[in-house]
Order: sequence, then structure tokens, then C-alpha cells
Amino acid sequence: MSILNATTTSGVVLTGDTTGNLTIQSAGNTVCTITATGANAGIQLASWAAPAFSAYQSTLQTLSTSTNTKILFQTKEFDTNNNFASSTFTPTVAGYYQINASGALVSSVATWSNLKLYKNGSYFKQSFAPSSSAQIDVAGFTGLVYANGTTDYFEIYGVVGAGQNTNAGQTVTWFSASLVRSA
Amino acid sequence: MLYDKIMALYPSLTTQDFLTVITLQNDSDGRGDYIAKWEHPTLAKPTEEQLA
Repeated sequence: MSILNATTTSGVVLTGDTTGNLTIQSAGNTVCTITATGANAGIQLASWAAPAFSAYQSTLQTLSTSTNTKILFQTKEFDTNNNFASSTFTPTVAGYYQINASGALVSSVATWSNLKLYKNGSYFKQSFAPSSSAQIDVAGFTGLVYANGTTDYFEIYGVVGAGQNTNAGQTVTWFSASLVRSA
Repeated sequence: MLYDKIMALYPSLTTQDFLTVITLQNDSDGRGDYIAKWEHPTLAKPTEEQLA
């Protein structure tokens, strides 16, 4: 692996080899790797440079009627940059993020349900699922948002027309996000 | 439940009110339901005593 390193002491330092692959570093920290062939061919950003996470709810929670309730996602599937904690996503890289969520209810009553994205503690964007007599209601959310990489954080809230429990599970109640492009 | 207490005080409130001028919230932090926004044009925000 050839290395192109922009140092803080010696300018740009180039260390070459014959692999045909190139790593670009800043102060010794790998930013990306360029690989010409093989399964990883292309440009791979370092995990810290491209935050992505996915988590799901493993323990159901009770939603009260017409009450915006923070949805809890207790189990992480992956979290490349350790930006997800306490069911809150706080990306540390400034940029534009694709955020997705799904919330399911175990419902015995016809109702409406709604998933809301909260940014910095305030209602920001929402989805809406109409009334349904189905036994399982699901609301989804998807959106593209900006995060400043320092203080901005995101949470998912749910609200229902009649109090009931969420349907916990990896496949139905989850929250994920990834960096689409940097600022 | 906070919703039930509010409805007992103001039975005329509708679902639409709770989607627009009133926001009840629970941050799942153990502190329970609370009124995050009350902008109803005619009904006063309930006091702590009324909700106790």
C-alpha cells in the first residue's frame, strides 16, 4: 500500500510500494484508501469519515394517546463512528445525512400513527400513516437532513391516535442513518 | 395519563387540536408525559394543580 501523508512537520510524505493501492492520510490518520482491483476496488472512506449506524428496538414501549414519545432503540447493528447512543444520533462529521426509521404497533384498535424526526430536541419532519384496522400498524420515515458535525442531534418520536404498545423487533421498529456527502 | 386528564378538563378538544395547537410529549427519560406546547386560541393551559 502506497501512502500519501500530509504531515504537520514534514509536509507531504510519500511512501511507495508495488501493490497499486493508495492510502491518503492526514497527520498519519487514514482518510481514504484507493484500490484498483479486488472485492474492495474503488475509494473507501475511513469509517470515522463516513458515519453510518443502524439500531432497532428490542423491548416494546407503551405510547400514550396523542403524546409524542421518544422511540427507544436498544440494540445496535452497527455504528461505524460511535455516533449513536441513548437512542440519539449525534454525527461528528458535518454534512448531509439520509435518515430512515420504521415504527410498528401491535394494535387492536383502528388508529393513526405518525413518526417524527426531532432535531436538537424539536420537531423537525414527519411521516404519517392513516387510520387502519389492521392488527399491526407501521409508520415509516425517510429524509435528507443537514448536521453540523458538532452539536446537532437527531431522535425519532412516535405518536398514535389511541394508546398502545410498539411492536419491537429488528425487522419492524428501527432507526438508521448514513452520511451522503460532507458539508 | 396526561391526555386523559386534559380531556377530562376540556372534553371539547379534538385530535386535530393535539396535532396542531397542543403538543404532549414524553422523552422516555423517566419523567413522564408533559405539555411541550399549548397554543390553543381559547382554552387556557391547565395548571399543575388541575393536572394533579
